Amino acid sequence: MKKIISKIAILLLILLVTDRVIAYFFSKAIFSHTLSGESGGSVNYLLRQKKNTAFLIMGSSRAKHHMNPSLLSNVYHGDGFNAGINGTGGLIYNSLLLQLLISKKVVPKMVILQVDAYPYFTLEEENIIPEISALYPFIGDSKALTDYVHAHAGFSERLKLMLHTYRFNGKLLNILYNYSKRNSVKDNQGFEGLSGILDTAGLQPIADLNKKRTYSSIKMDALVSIAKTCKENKIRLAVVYPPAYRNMLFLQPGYDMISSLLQKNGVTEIYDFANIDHLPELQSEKLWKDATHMNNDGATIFSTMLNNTIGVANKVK
Amino acid sequence: MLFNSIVFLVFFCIFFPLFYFLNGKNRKILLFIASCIFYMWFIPVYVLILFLTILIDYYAAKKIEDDISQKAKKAHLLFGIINTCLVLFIFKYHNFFIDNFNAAGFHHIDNWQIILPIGLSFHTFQSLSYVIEVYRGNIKAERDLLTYSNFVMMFPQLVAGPIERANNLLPQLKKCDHTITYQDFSVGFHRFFWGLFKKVMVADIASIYVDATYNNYQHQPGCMLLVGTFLFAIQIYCDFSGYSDMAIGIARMMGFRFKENFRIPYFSKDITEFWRRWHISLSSWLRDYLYISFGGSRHGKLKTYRNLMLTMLLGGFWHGASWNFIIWGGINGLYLSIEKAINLPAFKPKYFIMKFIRVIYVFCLISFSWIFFRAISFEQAITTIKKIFTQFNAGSFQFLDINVFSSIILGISILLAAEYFVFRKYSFDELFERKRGDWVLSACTLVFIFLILFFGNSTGSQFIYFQF
Repeated sequence: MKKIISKIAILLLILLVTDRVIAYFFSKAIFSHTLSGESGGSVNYLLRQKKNTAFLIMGSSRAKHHMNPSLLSNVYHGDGFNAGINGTGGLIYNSLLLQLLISKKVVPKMVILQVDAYPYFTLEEENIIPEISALYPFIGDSKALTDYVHAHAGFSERLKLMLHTYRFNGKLLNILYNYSKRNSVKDNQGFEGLSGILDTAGLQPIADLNKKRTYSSIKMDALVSIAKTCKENKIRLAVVYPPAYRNMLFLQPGYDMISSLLQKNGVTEIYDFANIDHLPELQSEKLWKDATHMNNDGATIFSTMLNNTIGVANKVK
Repeated sequence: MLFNSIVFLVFFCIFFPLFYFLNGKNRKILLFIASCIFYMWFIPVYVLILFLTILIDYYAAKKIEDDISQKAKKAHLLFGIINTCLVLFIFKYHNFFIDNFNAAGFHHIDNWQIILPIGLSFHTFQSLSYVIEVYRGNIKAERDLLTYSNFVMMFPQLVAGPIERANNLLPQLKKCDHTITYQDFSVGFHRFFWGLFKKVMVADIASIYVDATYNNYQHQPGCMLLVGTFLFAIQIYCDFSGYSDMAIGIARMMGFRFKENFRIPYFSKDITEFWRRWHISLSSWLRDYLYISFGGSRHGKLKTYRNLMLTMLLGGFWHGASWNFIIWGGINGLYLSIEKAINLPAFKPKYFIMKFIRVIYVFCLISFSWIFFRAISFEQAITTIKKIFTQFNAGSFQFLDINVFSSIILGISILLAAEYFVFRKYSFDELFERKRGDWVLSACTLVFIFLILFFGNSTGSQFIYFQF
């Protein structure tokens, strides 16, 4: 048994020491130099190059590909950055990202937050790991992020995070790729227009959209947290509900619930474009890349519409 | 409880020292309790089904041995087989027959809303082999219920095999006072991590691409479905052989030796060889208890083909209560029959290039059959095949997520290199016994851990074979 214990002890020791050394050097020598990509590079870019950005667009891929800051001239002359992220850009991610940015003294004057009702409800047990793991490389940089991970990630995830290399799980190749093109990153506003046109053949509505589902308390908490963080830091918060082709993601009770929650927390600036039946300009399939993402032409029309609506709201204010 | 979960790590860290220091009966009791906890982690009440099959076959085997007349022995054999199969039928196949009865247009019967007890097919087959072997007089009936329970329930092999034979495992469990050597622990430890690597770094990553193509097959071009099919072939191999490696590794850490379940099957040069290397514990079970019982190859060519087809059809049905699995078994039966007819295994390729072509040929044929295994319906399988052959459309190939695809390529490259250069030639024990073998294995294990940390799919997904 002595030999078995000493073998495990030696392996554990080597594992821990190697882990710390690899994670430290990888983080300092490679990760921190990446300025693009969704494994933390675009957050690095924001923290380094866009510290003084006037407004920030936050949300999922439906923010990243739909809202072009340069077209939002009524919002601080278009001086903004789109921090939307594909796949994992839900409310929890955005709440934690906002707190990370504030802890790094990146405090925009305004946040435009894209919200969809569909993921606001849940049919099954929620898995928040994909949302928070996108920010794992920044654990330690923000107390709020670290505390949240400890409180919500669960025992297994906390144990894995004792190994620092795990912070880069699933991100290594992406980071290496973005490191290789770090010198060619041009000045940008984060927005990425999509190309291609939606093929409507075989298009089917989301099967479980109208199934009875429960509210996601953890996502509601995240939304409230964003509202509170903005209030505490005197950041103007505007919430946008973008449309989807043929109302694929339209869920009126969800939007009603979100609006009422926002109003309860003092957020009144809500731009509701969720129902595409009211938006004839965006109904052509030529403006969509797929059922939930507009292409660049659609995004231009949508950004202009949003800009005009915010312009009217500014005048009213 | 999944081997690739932190819960299992905690469970085993508590269990192992206790198991190491206890001896004899106390060790057996500990193993029994641990196996119960392990099984009850899924659906606690289902442990009762397990106890029921244990009691049936324990009783049947004892009676078979005690009976003097051949008739009574046979009656008790039938009692054991019928009752064990009945449990399997009720929980696994009942809804399949109801669906087909309803589809035939007879009186409509509602399905049962029951969840299949995890690993049911594995432990029922293990119990059946025990009763049959006692009947055949190859082994003695186990008189100690605790020992027999551990034979069926022993947690490393409980939910997804390997389907251990009584003549291998029962003697090891009988006294349960063996000394766990350093080599046992070390070899088992490294084998466990090799299995974990296969599961988390290859199977689970490949599943992302496979699911993305198969779950959306109507909208995928043939080229994507073909890549998805090839990746599924890799996924199912790494998922199941990874599980087997972990099971064998855990058992070895405890000082038990399980039979090998996979011998690098994708390096086979014909389908017959593939089935000698793939899920060996099941294919040898099917050979010994079905194929040979049907007559094997003793009654002429036509009957041999019939026996092969029947065995593989039943083997397919063992996997799941669906026509897709039966068709999957049928396709493999057909492959084996054709190979037997043209006597392909007799033509041994001499040159590397010929061997390589034969390996690719086997991989393609087996991958084709996997389409029926992976598709959730017959219609999906047919559409997938049609698309691969008629709407290939290579220009519309997409990596989907380049990060995931690169990780898949990296994982498969490491797997192929390790299997071709190392595991084709050496066993873990042979590697351990080489000069500084333990240190080299430890270094490799550390590399695998870091690869898992950087690339592994950390969601801890279930093993595919748990559903069987």
